[in-house]
Amino acid sequence: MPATSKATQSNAAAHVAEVINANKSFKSGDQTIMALQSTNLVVNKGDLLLIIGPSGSGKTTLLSLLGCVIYPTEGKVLINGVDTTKLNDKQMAALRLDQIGFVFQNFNLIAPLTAEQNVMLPLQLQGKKGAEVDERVDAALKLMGMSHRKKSMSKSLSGGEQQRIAIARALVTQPALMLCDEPTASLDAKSAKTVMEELRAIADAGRALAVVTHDPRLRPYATRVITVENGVAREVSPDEDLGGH
Amino acid sequence: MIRIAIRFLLYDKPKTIGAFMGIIISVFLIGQQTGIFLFLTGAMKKLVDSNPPLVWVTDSKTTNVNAMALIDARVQRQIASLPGVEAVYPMVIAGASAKFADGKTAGLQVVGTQGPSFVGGPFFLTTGTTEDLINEGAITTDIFDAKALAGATLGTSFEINGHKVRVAAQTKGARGFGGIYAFTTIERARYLGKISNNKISALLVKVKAGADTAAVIQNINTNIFGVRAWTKEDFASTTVRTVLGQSGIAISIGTIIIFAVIAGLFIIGLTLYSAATDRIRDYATLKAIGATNGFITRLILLQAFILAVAGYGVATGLMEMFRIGIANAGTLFYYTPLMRIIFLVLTLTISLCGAIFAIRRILKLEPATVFRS
Repeated sequence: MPATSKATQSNAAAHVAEVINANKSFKSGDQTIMALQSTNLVVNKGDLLLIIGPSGSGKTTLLSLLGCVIYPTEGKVLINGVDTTKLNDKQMAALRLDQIGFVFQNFNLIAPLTAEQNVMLPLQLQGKKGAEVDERVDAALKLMGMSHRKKSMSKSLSGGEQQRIAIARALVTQPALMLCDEPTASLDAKSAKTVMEELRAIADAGRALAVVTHDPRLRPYATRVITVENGVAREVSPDEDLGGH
Repeated sequence: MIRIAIRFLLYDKPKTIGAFMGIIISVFLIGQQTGIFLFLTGAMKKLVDSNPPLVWVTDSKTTNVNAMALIDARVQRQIASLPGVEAVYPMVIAGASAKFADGKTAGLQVVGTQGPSFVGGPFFLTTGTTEDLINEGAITTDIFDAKALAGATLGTSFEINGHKVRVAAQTKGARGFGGIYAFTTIERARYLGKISNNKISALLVKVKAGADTAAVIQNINTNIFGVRAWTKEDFASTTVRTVLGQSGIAISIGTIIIFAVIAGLFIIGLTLYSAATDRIRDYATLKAIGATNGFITRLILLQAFILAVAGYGVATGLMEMFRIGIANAGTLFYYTPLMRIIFLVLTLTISLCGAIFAIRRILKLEPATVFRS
């Protein structure tokens, strides 16, 4: 099943992200490495899109394209209808800040800041101040059940707590799209389950999520599944047997 | 943003302390060397600077108050007859050797001026008066030179060039460049320094109220052969230029200041670079979640600014302690408000330029690297 098959059936108004004939190649010495073959993909509101594939398959490249941290070599990536290939670095940064939330494998909380300050950071980058910031930070922390740890430094938090703070940080700007890179890889089974339940709840609330993972246990939480292998992305049924994946 | 910058600085204490110490050492060295330079240049022109704004007349070849050739004393009457001149005061400066009761010796400069006005010196008198110099064998010494003069203080007698003298008054801070000043009457200075009665070292000319000083100077230079007239400011600055040109003081101190700036720049630069490299994941995360290069640049510059201001504060305190400490030994200098502003600007320049290393490193960072950690 090609990656576009379901996307083409979706309502265009619900499209949060669209990857249109986009590929990505990198130069390595004299060689050109095709990290991701020409791909078409649509991510809609309410999707919890699982991107599965072995190491080096191209799934992080796909996530990077969706996250607007790299430009496609060819093709287009649209976020809420905005063609990102036409944006400069500064505009891309602004688009990431306003439209995309990131959750990383190693949580990537800013170590010198408290949990609360980490969650506050995207709002400060947006130039927001005052009561609005406090309210949104409190709401995000409350949603993640982390209000009681808001004054804690990140290194004093457990892995699961750090990841929930990271999710709160990603959510606080109310982005259209959340991208999660191996969000459960550094967590124990219990914390992983909690985090995935929270991500699923976020998707159910109407936000679009794309989650890169090696972990097949996350498949039950997905509404859609994309496999990436040797740079080729294809959409499969959430119930399809993927063998090694 | 300032809170984030402070958090970043406090989080990495060893590197922050390293950069902080780099700034303090660099700025203190710059201030200390500048202070010594100020003292030395001040000493070079002390005799000129400490006098009222009179016109100085010296031998035509003289460009340094510390090494004046003798001129004919009759020039005094010639100058006194020129229009615009109210009064002319002679001065004799003679190198001499002092010998003390304990057998120790010291070189000094006997400066003779004409009583009762004693225009030309002594200045900075703290004990006694110029009237005391009229007495037999009376001279002044500076209290900061007591150690060099075998503890000579008010009332002490010793010999200058084999003639008995007595300390009748004392100055504080009337010290020349590499020489100890002993003020006395012009007659006694001639006697002690073995200078002929028809020779003088310089004349100090008082211009009549309302007369044009520049015209008087031009008149002297045009009509009196073998001498040169200067404004006080010109003679002082020419003296400094002459001494600096003949010595390695400017190069020596200038080199230390330049190296202090360079050392500060690299210590701060490399420390901030190292701190930025340690925090590379944080910066990559910031870029990934939407921080612009402008925000990152401001964040790093703000850290450098905080370090600079704090380092400048501590360094200024140390500089002041140094200044007061050596002032007690007679090495007197002052930092003007302008100089303090220049030090602050220099500190900020060192610190902010040092931050460029770190900024360049972070600006090259691709936000996509956040997925590779």
